[in-house]
Amino acid sequence: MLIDQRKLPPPAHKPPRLHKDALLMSFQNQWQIRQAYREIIGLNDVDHFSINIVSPNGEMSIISYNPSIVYKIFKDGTYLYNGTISPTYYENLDFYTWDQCYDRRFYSQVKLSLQTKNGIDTGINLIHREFGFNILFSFASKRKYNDLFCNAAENNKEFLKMGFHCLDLIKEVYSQYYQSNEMLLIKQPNHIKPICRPNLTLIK
Amino acid sequence: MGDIDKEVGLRLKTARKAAGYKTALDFANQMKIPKSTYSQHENGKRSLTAEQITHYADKLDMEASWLLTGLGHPCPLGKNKNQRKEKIEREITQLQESNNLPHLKNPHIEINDNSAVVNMELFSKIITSAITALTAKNLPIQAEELVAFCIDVYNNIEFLATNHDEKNKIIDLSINSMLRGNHIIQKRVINF
Repeated sequence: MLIDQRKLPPPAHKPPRLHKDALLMSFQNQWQIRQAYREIIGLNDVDHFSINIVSPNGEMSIISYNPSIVYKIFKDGTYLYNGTISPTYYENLDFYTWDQCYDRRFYSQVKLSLQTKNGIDTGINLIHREFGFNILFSFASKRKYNDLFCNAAENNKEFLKMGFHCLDLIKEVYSQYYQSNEMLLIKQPNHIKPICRPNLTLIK
Repeated sequence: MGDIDKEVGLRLKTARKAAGYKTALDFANQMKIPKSTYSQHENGKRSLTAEQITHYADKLDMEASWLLTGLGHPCPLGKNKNQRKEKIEREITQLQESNNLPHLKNPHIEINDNSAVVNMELFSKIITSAITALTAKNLPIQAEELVAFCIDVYNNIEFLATNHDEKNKIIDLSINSMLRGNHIIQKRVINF
């Protein structure tokens, strides 16, 4: 079970409200998530990707390429202080880096748990809001001297394109945890062109 | 002496204690070397040669590569060694928290690795569970795809700070996701 939150000092920002299966849902669907996300892994220095969906009732589901990261931050309680999944940030900002959200009092512990132990160098979040949903596209790079932050800042359409592409592929996974057709209505905005998927049968 | 010598020395000290030698003198006597030489190795005042590292690792039943770099598993994996491994890992975490040792990322294995230290007990369990489940459901899968997925499952489970039962539960969840995923692919093929 998760750690007893009553023993911890209150976080500096609003903590997220998690879906009851958030801890294990990425393990429960690891194969499907892997098949979907690996279509973008490697592009633009992205080594880790997660889609965190906050439904209109405020519950967050986490669908991650590396389920162990989610598991570890929930078990050790650092998710309360890392801020990257806090409403304080995702409700007010459209783009932010992970480390700017860390609770300053626990900066090193949070960075250790979320980044250092997982070999992650840079992490960023891009937010899309529609039909009462908050969708957090979370990208991270393990490469030293990567250009993830600059790339995402300069070409955020490119990153949103990758995010929506994966979102389409994991809607079936999400529908197991939130039964509503509203999610199906969320489409990639028109001003972002969809990723062109090659027709492999034409390539000899 | 540099930081690396100090880090190697701290790992050596942790390993020595975990092996049951309470004092540096006990171990120095066992190794038949002067206590002052060994103490200097532990406190990083004297550099260790490759030969000495291998020799200490051998005597303490540790991985020489871990002693040198801190990467990978501290001791050879095995059923009877888990307790010692846990003890060492606990002490290393304490040293890291007090900033005496740098934090290192969890070593992951990759399909392209020429060699890696692998917890074979865990990896065998994952691959056996996957093959058994696929055979029972008569589901086809490409061998490379299966191995790549099992490596991913391994990397996600090996370094979770949780008990054996929870790890087994997570293996089952991951393997079940593969069965469901393959069913979906088959359905789609049939629908075409």
